[in-house]
Amino acid sequence: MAQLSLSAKINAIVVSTLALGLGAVAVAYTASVVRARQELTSDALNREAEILYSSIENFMMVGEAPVAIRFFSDLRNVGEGLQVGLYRRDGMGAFIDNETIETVNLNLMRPRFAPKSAFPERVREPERPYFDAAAGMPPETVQFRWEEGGRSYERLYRPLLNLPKCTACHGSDHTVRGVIDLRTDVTQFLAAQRSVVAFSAGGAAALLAALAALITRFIHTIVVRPVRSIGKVCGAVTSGDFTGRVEVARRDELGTLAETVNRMVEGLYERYELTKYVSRGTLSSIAGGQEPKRVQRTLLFSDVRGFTSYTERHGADAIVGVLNKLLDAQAGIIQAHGGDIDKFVGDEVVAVFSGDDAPYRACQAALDIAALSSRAAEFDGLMVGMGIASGSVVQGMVGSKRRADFTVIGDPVNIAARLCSAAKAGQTLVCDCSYDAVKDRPELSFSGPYKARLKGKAEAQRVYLLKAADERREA
Amino acid sequence: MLVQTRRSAGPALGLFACMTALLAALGASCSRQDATIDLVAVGYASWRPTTEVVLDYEIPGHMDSLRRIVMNETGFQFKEGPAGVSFPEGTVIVKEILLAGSGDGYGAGPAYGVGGADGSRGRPNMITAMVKAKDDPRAQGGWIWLMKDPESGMESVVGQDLCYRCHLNANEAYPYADGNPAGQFRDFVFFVPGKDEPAP
Repeated sequence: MAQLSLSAKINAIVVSTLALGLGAVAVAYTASVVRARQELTSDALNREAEILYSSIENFMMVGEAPVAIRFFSDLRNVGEGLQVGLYRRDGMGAFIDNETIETVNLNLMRPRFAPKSAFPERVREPERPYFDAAAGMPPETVQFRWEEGGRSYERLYRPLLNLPKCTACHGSDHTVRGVIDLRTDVTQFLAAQRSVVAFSAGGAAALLAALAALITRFIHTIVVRPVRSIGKVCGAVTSGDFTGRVEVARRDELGTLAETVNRMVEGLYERYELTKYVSRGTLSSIAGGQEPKRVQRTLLFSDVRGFTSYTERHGADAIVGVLNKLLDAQAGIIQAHGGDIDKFVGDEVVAVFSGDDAPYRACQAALDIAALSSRAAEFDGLMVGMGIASGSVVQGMVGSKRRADFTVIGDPVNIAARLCSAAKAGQTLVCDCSYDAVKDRPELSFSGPYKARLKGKAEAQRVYLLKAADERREA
Repeated sequence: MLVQTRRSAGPALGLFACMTALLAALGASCSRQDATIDLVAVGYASWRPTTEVVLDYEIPGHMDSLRRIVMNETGFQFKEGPAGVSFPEGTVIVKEILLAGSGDGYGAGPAYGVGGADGSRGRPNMITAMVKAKDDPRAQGGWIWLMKDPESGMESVVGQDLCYRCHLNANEAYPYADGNPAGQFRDFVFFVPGKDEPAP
């Protein structure tokens, strides 16, 4: 599944929540309007039907059927919105012939009503099955929607019961005498209803859009923007840029987080600066554990020749300037060959090389350092002598709890230091262990072996002199 | 220290669930049906009849089906005064349609109700009842008008006004029993005990 951004998720939640909420309100509002309209129409129709029912019942009971006929005739054109009709129970229009009059006269066994000679027009067939429900058993008042001529009507069929008091005239062999037909024109109501629905939907959509924009903007300002700012600063720190700071002037959780991030960046910057003053081995030991362990290493010592007399002849600023330049050049070369500056001790550099080809890389570094003699003017004529030794050393933290160095100790360290002391300016003396490891390398050339008595060693040591590149060419 | 931020759709789902539950509850409340009613006692058949008249003549609603009307003892405590007849709250009047009739009336159907030679009654085709409960919102004219299914015993309130409007005639002159010649208020009951002699 595609990962959505924080903004997209917030937008989705805001929009969906608003859509659900406003949608529910709009639907409820629209439904209530529709229901209210339906109830009003239904109530009006039922009330009118009840009035008609009562009118018919009262006309009939006093034997005023002709009045009832005239009453219905007048009501047919009471207004465009309302139409009234009356069906017999068989679906024929009422008062269209003399059938009812004849039945009544027969039941009363006297000519109570004179037959008519003129009849109203026949009415159209009732709508079934609504009519059947109204005239059947049990008789039910039925309301339904009816369309004609492009207009809409709410129509009501109200059964007219054959009550006990009616049976004297109409007989008791049926329960429903007829059905009152009422219809009211609701075309305009429905048009207004559609407008309300459209307005509600449009209003809800507009409100949704406006609220979504406002809320999203608000959340973007108070949440997304600070989070992005924090992310930007963290990204810059990852790339080595410690200058960025999160600018959130708030006292809430995000403000506290921003302050914490800023403090964290400052702390990281301080630690980053400190890494310049410690070896990579020290840094890796912090990450990988500080327990001392015995390892194979190659040591490269370099020391400036004639430095003591140089210091006597020059001022402090000049001394430090030249020395730093020379040490920096050496450090660059050593690191370029994968070595680690263990420490600077005055004008001396102690470098550690690790790995299978550590002696080879140490020799390459020594040759490059020796080549600095071509830039002797740059270093005010100062040159270094170097010593290289390989072997088993103990690597670990050495010092007190308050101040310690991650360094190496062991015989190869002492040998490298002694070889360095013994080497003249521009020379690199290599112990036989290192020599054995690189003697087959065509890029390197040595002279020797020589016998050298080193301080702390009872017997003379076999050493080799690493030749500089120009020396190899001459050879 | 690594802090794992668990990205979850829980809050959004919770919101949707709440709204769905709300809508469901709303829908359920709108569509809730009336609870089952049980207003006619099971042993009503042993109640006393309201009239000795053989009700097999033709009337709208039931046509010529054989009818038998009984009433609980509460109903027999009715009062008669200048304002007319009044039945007490809790009165239950049951009308059984025992014999299949003809025409369009209630109760038309197989002749389940034909009695045996020993006078036993068969199963009614149909049972209707009126229960006096003037404050009940389902009441029309102070009575709840019921139909009881003889097979299942399920009762249902008659919402239409067929029963009510027909029995409304009992409060004026009508063609049954004594005919109520004075148009006395009879509390919607055609056969008030003691008033079942046909008018002379």
